[in-house]
Parts: sequence; structure tokens; C-alpha cells
Amino acid sequence: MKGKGADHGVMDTSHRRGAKRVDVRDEDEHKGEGEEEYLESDIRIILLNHLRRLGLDAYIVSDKEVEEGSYYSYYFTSSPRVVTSVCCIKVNGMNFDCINLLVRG
Amino acid sequence: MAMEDNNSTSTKLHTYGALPFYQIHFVVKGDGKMFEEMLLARTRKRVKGVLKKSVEDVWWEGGKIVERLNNDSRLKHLLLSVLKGEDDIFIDPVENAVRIYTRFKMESDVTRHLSKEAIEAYNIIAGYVKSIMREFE
Repeated sequence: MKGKGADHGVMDTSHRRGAKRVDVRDEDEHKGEGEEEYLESDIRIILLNHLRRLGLDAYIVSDKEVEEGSYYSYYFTSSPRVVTSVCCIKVNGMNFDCINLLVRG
Repeated sequence: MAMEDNNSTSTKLHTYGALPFYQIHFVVKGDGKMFEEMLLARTRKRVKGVLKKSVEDVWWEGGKIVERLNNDSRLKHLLLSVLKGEDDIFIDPVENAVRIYTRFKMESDVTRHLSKEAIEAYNIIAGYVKSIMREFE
């Protein structure tokens, strides 16, 4: 089950702002010759591929400052107490620095 | 033996249910606590209809940033369509960042509401957050 490539055809711009790029498998990576397609279950890949389908230059980075800091100010009553960071996705050309995916619990 | 099996499975059960719930945060890095009073904001909306919902009006409530957000007609136009299937949008300044987010969603809904319009709306909001942070630094 060999992958097509490490960067999946996306321009590596992680060096520009010092973010550490993490190599994550793509949905195409699984589709070897003679293999059947299967439903992707990794939420990181689902979100990443969705953003790429929208035409955005997105890739997963590891950003400890964002992932390990506090997630809520708790001024809003709906803020949960127990959340875990799943991943951090960098999108080039956007005003926000990254997209942080959180899971409850 | 059956009791032991039951105990081992019960410890694996999740507190919040079997299915995970996800939330997407759009993060703008910076000292959010310094601009807390200016940046803390949320949307409010007036919805018409029960089965066929339509958002009639959207406005922002909160700090100084709401003046700029409410005056942006493009953002309002985007939010009228984005908030149809979404909960309110919150701008939440924390210690090392400002986080823009909506409600928690099921795994199947994570990408459903993340349209091009929604990303453009979040991009505009992040732009205003950045401009305020730069202006009052």
C-alpha cells in the first residue's frame, strides 16, 4: 500500500512562518492498484480534503501554542469544560492563523 | 467472569455518549486577554418559520468590534445564508489567541456547513479581529 507522494501536490509553505508541517496520509494514498475504495473515517483527513476541495491551500501543522493553550474564556455559558484538540490545519492566504479542531470529552 | 467483562466495558464508555462531537475554531494568534473588552462578541439572529427556517436578520452583540462587524454589508449578507444551518458565531479572546467558533457538531455535520461562504465569513471576521489588535496594540 504505497502512497503517491509525501506532499500530495500541495505547495510546502510551512517554512514561511515557522510552522512545523506534519505529513498526513491522503485519501488517495490508500487507493493502490486493485484495491477497493473505502469510506474515510479519520476526521482530520475528511476536513483536510473538504478544504482542498473548496480550493484552499490547506495542510496539517503541529502548533503547540494553539493546541495546548486555553480554548475558551468562559464568558459564554455554553463553553464546555472538557475538550481535546484533534489537529491544527493551516490555510494559506487567510486572515486566521489556523483552524483548530476540537472534540468534546 | 461476566461481571468482569461488564466492568471492563463500562470503563471504556465515554462520558458524553458514544459518538464524538467536534467544534471548529478559527484561531487568530495574539494576546487576546489584552483586547478582551473590545473583541468579546457573538451573533444574534431573528429566525422566521419552523419547518422552513429562514434567517431574517443578523446582528452582533459585544465589545467595540461589533460596530465594524455590523457595518459590513457583505458579512451580513454572508451570515444570513451561513447561519441558516448554524448556531450563533462567537468571538472568544483567550490568553494566547482569539478564537472564532460556532456550536459542536456531529462527525457527519462537520464539513456539511463549512461552505465557501462560511469560510469567507470567518475570514472577514478574523480580518476585523486582526485590525483591532493591530490598531490598539
